[in-house]
Amino acid sequence: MSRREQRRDRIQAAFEGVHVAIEAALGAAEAIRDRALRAHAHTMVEMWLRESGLAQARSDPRMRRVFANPDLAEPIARVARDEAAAFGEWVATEPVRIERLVAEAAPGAAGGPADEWLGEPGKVDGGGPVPQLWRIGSATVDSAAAERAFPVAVPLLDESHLQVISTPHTRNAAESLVENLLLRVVSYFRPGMVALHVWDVGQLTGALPALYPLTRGGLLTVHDPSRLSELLEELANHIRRVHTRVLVDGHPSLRALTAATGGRTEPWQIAVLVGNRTGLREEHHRALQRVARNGLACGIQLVLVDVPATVSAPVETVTLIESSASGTRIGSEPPVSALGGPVTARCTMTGPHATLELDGPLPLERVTAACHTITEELETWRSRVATFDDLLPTDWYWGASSTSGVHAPVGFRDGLPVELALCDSSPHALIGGPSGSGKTNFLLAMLGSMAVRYPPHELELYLLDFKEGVSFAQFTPGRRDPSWLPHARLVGVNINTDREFGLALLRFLAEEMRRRAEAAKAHEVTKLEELRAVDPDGRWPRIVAVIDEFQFLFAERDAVTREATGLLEDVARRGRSQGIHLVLASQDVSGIEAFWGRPAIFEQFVLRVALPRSRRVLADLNDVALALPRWHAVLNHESGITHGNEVVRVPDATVRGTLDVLQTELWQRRPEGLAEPRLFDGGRAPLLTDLLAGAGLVSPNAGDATRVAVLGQLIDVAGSAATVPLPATPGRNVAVVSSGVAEAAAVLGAAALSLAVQHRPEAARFTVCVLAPEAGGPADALVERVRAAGQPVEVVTLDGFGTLVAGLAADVAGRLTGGVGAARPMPHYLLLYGVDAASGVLEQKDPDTFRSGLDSLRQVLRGGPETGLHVLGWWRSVQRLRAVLMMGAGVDDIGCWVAFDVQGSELGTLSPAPVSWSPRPARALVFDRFTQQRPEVLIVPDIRPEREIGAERGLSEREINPDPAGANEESG
Amino acid sequence: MTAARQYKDITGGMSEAVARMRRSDTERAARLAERLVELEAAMVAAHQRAAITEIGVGLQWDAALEALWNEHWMTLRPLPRPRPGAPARDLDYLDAVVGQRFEALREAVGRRRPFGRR
Repeated sequence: MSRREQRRDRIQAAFEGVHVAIEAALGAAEAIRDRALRAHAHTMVEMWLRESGLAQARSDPRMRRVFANPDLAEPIARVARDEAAAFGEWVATEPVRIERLVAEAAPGAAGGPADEWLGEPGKVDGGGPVPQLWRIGSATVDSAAAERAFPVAVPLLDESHLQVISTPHTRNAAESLVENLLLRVVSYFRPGMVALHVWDVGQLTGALPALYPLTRGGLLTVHDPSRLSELLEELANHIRRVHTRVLVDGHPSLRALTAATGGRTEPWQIAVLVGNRTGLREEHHRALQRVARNGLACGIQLVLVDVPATVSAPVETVTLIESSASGTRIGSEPPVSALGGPVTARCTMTGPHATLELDGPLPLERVTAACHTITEELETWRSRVATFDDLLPTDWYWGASSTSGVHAPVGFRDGLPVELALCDSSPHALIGGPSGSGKTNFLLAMLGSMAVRYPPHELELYLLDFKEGVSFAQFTPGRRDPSWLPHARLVGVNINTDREFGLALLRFLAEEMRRRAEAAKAHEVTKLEELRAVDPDGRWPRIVAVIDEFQFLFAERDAVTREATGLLEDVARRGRSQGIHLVLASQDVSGIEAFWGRPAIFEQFVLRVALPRSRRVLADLNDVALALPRWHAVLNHESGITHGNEVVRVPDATVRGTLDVLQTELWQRRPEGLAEPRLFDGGRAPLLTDLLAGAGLVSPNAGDATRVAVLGQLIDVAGSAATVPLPATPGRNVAVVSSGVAEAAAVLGAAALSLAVQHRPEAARFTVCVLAPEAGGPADALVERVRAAGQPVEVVTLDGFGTLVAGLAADVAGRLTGGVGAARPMPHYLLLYGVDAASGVLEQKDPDTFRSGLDSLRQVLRGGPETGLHVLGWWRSVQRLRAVLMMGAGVDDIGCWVAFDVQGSELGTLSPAPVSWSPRPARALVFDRFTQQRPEVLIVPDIRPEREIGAERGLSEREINPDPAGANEESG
Repeated sequence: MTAARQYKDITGGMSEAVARMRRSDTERAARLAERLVELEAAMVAAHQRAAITEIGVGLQWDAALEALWNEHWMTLRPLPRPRPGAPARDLDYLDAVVGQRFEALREAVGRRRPFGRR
């Protein structure tokens, strides 16, 4: 090689060396620069990530380039590893615990996969376990390295409301969330235990369309978008009703009540409100808050979708978000937003660091089919005929206390018993129903249901039946069935024309009210509840008075109606605080003329019961009753306003084996010493023997006590005997005015027999004058019986009457003018059968004294009583009686008269004031001017001997007289 | 305790973990912020030092080209690109190497006699 070439080689090599060295240097410079840059960038990125958190940084669009840059993967991975480590512990153990918890708290349809329950109607009823949680989806922890999904469930019934917040593109997912949840609830419980309400601000139809088959059975109610206030008011009324009628014994919530009694009677109400993210109007918002606050305790559940509202009650929130970030799909077919990305959510149950993926929507056909199945099951359940026994409590009798009122179920709605309440808020009841509508059955069911729950010292019943028929008679001992209802204190049947009996009951109730008010005042309290609290040993039962066909009581325009109306108003108004409750039943409430000027008389009758075809019992526009089927009734505790309607099916309480069996059982358990109820049977005459026993006149009274004559029975609650005392004072005579003999003979006979019993044998003298031919038979019978009682009887006929009267008149005159020794040795009772028939005889004048028999009679009447001679006479007309009571005698010589078939106006001066009276069978007007204020109605007694009565009734000898050697043997 | 309460207690554990993590992250971020200041200075220094090398190297290259100006037979090349993957070695050393190689080049070129013999 030449030197030139060598040189060139050397230069080339050296140049190359420089080149290489510069490459290396520049490369190194760049590397150094890069290294410093990277260190800086990594540290900065890590600092950002640690400051803001990986999840937040990921969702920040400004950081997208950072995450996309592979150079920065290292610090990102480091931060992610740290986060995973932090959650790692939790993720290792807690999801399993959550799974177990949810499995336990959300059994069956509440938490299981849809295939296990969708399409099957639920079986759990009110007493069954109520799930504490309801599944909505599953979640994973954000940024957890090992993803372990766990189920997410929310509390609902009785626990918490639910709020769902969505975005415009996730609205569908929100609706399917709500739909799934409602399906779970409705498929868990027996159909009818849950009622759904849907209100959608934007549309009348469209919200949750798949559930619409439920509307057929009334399980789902779709509310008009413009009527939110009505829905809220309905919910508020429900709350009020539950508080005043169901939660009465101090239970704070339906859940507590169910725990105490074992059965839930109020279905849950779930109200779904679908909004559009604008706030509600102020008044709606307030109403909603009130419902939210008080609803959970009363079984009302709110599900709010896009309704911004602050709720001061437990509420869980699910907030839907769209995320385009990756997240592993968990579960099949998650909901997809309208933009196509997966829909995730945050939930207050899982907190802000977990992402919730909602369960996907269920197939439309299956949902619709399930709803149909549920509705059919409900209808099957509804048409199940509920029996009287279903009204009775299952395991206890007489366990309830009537301190706060009387509550008893009377029928069923959707298989659940519906209670009737007589309490402070609904003290009295008005029942309307034409004949044949089941009014009697309703009353019997009600009485049976009450009687089985409250013991006799907590509840007393007073029952009156104005119409024909003996529906309440079954509560008293009878020939075939000796049992009686222990709670019944008074039963009146066949009252028909004896309106006075209704009046007597009202008087009794008013008196009882006064007595209780005075006792309350003495204890310094005002109400029965308080009285019972301060006087626990006293006996203060609640009184329920039932009057069937009560309009008869007010049928006439007379003093009875006037007084009865006043008393009714009084008891209606003041009875509430004294524990006295009226239940008035009628065919036609509006036809009571006496009430037309007093619209307020029924304002205390808050409880209204309308039977099919009844009118005017409920409020005017409330015509549910017109279309009711048989065996149903409308129960309304809100004075008849429509929203208070409860349509119930009333079981049959009239058929054998229901109420009669119950009554026998209760009768056998009755407390010792409880007296039988008093029976007032308008169709039967009271027995004289019973009247005498009641008045204590079964044996001769010693000494000089005044004897009384029993004429019959007064119409009062106690069934007292009508007595007239016969002391030796002027005016003590009795006149009976009747055109027929039978009734007059009954009264005279009763008087005579009662007097005979009160004297020791042979200590009184009886003279019986048979003056009218038709009186022969009764007079003879009476004579026999008086003689059998041990008293001497003299019988005089028409021929000897004149002589008798003259003799008696002379005797009376002698005694009156004579001295001390002129006292009559024993009382002398003169019974005159048909005085006016002897007028011919009486008008004859004695040739010697020029006195007529009439004058003598007048003298006997005027002067006889004070000498111990008492006249008990029967005149056949008032005019004839008045004809006697002039000149020598006066009206006041007949101290007591009994008038049968006279017109009130004919009595004239015999009565202190004009009296309106028309003849009534087996009834008379009695007036004793010395003891009574005004004439009263008398019931003619049955004076036949026991043997005869017993034989008529088919009783055996033994039954008639079970105690033949008894000490108090009476005549007869 | 109700099931809902129990559920929230369990998921609350998550939040506690987050809280713990947040706390430690905050501390670390603070430390990183301090370090960042240092790193920023280091980055500026590195940048400056690299620039010095680049400038120096550029000058050297120009001088080399200048020296080779008369060597018409040489194919000249532009300034070398930085070698990718070159390790971040001590620039002082590399600069010195460049200088040495340049001197070698100059020496190789300078051997040429003025008006050299043919």
